[in-house]
Amino acid sequence: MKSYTGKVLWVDLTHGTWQEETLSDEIYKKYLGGIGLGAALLYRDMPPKADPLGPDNILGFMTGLLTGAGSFFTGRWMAVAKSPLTGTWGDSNCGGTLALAIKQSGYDGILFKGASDHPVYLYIDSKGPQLLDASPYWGKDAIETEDLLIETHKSKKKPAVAAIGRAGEKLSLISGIVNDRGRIAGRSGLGAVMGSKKLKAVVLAGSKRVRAHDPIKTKWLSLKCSRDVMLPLQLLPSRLVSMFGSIIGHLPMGMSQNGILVAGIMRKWGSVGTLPASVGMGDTPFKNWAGTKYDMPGFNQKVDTDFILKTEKRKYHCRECPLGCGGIVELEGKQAESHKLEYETSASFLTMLMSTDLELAYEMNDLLNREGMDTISAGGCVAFAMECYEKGWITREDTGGSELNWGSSEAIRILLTQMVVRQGFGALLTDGVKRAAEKLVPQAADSAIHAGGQEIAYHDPRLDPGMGLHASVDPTPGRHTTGAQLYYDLYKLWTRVPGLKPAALFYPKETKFEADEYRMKGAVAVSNFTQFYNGMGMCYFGMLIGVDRVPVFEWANSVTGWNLKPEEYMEIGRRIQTLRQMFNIREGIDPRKINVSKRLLGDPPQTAGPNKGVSFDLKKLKKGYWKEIGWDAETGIPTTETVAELDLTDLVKVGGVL
Amino acid sequence: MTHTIIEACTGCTACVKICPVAAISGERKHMHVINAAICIDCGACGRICPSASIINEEGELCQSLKKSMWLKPVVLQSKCVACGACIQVCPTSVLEFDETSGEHVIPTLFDEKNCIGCSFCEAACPTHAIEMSVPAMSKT
Repeated sequence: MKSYTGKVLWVDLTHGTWQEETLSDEIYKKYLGGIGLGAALLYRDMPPKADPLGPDNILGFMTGLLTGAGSFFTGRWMAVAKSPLTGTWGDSNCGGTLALAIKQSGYDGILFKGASDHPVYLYIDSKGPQLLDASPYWGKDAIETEDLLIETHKSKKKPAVAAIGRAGEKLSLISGIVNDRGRIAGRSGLGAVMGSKKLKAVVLAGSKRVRAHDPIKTKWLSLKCSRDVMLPLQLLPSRLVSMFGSIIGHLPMGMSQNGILVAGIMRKWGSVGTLPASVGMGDTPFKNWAGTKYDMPGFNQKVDTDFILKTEKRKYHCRECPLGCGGIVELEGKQAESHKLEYETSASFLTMLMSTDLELAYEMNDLLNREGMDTISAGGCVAFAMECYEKGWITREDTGGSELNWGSSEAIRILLTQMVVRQGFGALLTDGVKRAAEKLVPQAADSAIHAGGQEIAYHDPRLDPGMGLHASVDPTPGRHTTGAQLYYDLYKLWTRVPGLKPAALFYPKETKFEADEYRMKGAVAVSNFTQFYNGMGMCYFGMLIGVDRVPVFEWANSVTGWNLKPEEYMEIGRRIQTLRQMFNIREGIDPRKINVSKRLLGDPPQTAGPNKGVSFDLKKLKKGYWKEIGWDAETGIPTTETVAELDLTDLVKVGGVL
Repeated sequence: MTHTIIEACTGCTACVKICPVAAISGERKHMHVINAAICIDCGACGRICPSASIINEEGELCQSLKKSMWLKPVVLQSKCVACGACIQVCPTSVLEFDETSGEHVIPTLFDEKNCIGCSFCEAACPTHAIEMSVPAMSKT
């Protein structure tokens, strides 16, 4: 018995046909599931230089090896494709109920190629797949679509649904794929790939069983884990979290943090609970990354995360998660039930735009979740427009009369409402800041904050240069989940993986910017671990608690029946990371040219705030990372030796095999 | 091997109606067949069959049971972590979160009539928070 199905489903939307592909155990041992398996299949089957919005692109809905087998933090599914936003390898990750539903349909992944000439959706129940007409749903938002499809297909088993909203239909390059009434795989613009294929939704109602190789051991590990991660912080007020952040931000030394605090904060507030501390320490950007917390004095008092708790009707757990960092909120008479703000969304719609209008942030969060647009990128676009307006590069004539002043609720509402349907002035921003800047004066490029075309998630590289490094070197640029120095501290990989040094509790701040052996080994370990746990279908919030409390390597063995050491799993992670990079190289991407905007490197340095005076050399860090992972230190191209060492030679040659 | 039907089958169609995945086919009063590719081994057919015609995945003859004697899940609040795995593995969607159960809402059996007693929820629960029992027995 094993926890994976050994099969993926290929759906050809051009011809309206499908077929199963059976995969050997060796393939799973080599690439795991999730993004790893997706990368291998897409590398093998996608023609090089495919148009991301054309029929040659392949869109995969992937699930991890641990999903459904009795472990925790395994409710994540992953969308994979070539990103139309960045032109690079694209992936995005989401929770809810879909991950298990994919596996219950009998597959470790469902991959779409070709494109339909009319709207369709895929329906899978116990009898197998069907492609059905989605014309009645085209033009509807993702939540309405989900509700209607569940009503249509609810028999004995309630289906799980992933759909695009109107942003995906309109091919917005910052659109995502929505499931569970407003959770969204938002990054990499993969909603547009779905829209380009005229695939409105995936509806999964399978009941196939998933079983661990060793269910008793797996449950024993889960029981122990559930006891180890439940830190009761119910009485902790948000102002104490804020004070904690301020103290860390102003300490003369750097201080590593502990994952058990993450678990407590997540359980009480969700990711938005980190906002006060992040603001305090200089992690959260203000005013399109040009400002500081001193531009919005008293922000943490005006935007009280405890207020969010007061509007929370109940906690929301993704499947197989004991934490429950999600929540369903309601503003009586103003905002119907919706998923609560995540940290990223709150930074995106509040600090980045110099707004304290929390009710508007709720409203816009719901709008974007419904229409399937990434809140991270969308807020970055509005911030860019506001800065351009301030500098006179966009005028009232351009906006149709709207004044795009910082903090203007009216401007935020108008822009986002236009963006999701590609209308009016907002249409300029529908494909992200890089493309918007190309249509304005040349100076606007410096205000368009991105890496490789993707807006950067809201953790300041001037505080944690690892955020800037990973957002630049990871094959999917601009992401915050791919790595950071903070994550090295929190993951505590040194407790399981030989050869890694423990993080010191205190360290001189300037050492963060060094490309020394400790930092570079740590950065590569974080990358490899990220690819490993993505292959397992695990949640990064869960991983932040630390592998000393979350037995991910032990689960991996008990669930699959393998007997691999943590360092062997880490090496599989390196293989996946390298394969994702090889995908980019084949696409003609030059890794040297993908960098976070210079503003985030302290060019020019900030004149106030916790990151005052900071600037650093990203190129040096990138070279250090490339050398450590086994890619050419000057070009970022994986070396022939590394490709051979990772047993990728057969795959990356023309007509390659897994 | 999945569940199979033997020649004692009278074609009463009780199994067809109870099967949550529509894996059983056959004409009334004729021997029925289970599609092994679809069957999920929930055992409902074996429990409902009045003519003892179902062999389970272990090769044993299933015993017919009155529906009132079927095992049903009871969620133990003290052990449940609200992960919802039980809700999702349920082939008849008879478990749902109880909105009144507190901040981290926990599942409950809200549709006892349609529960087929498969115990998938018990097997899936990572924290042993589900116990299967006969409602009639626990009430007495």
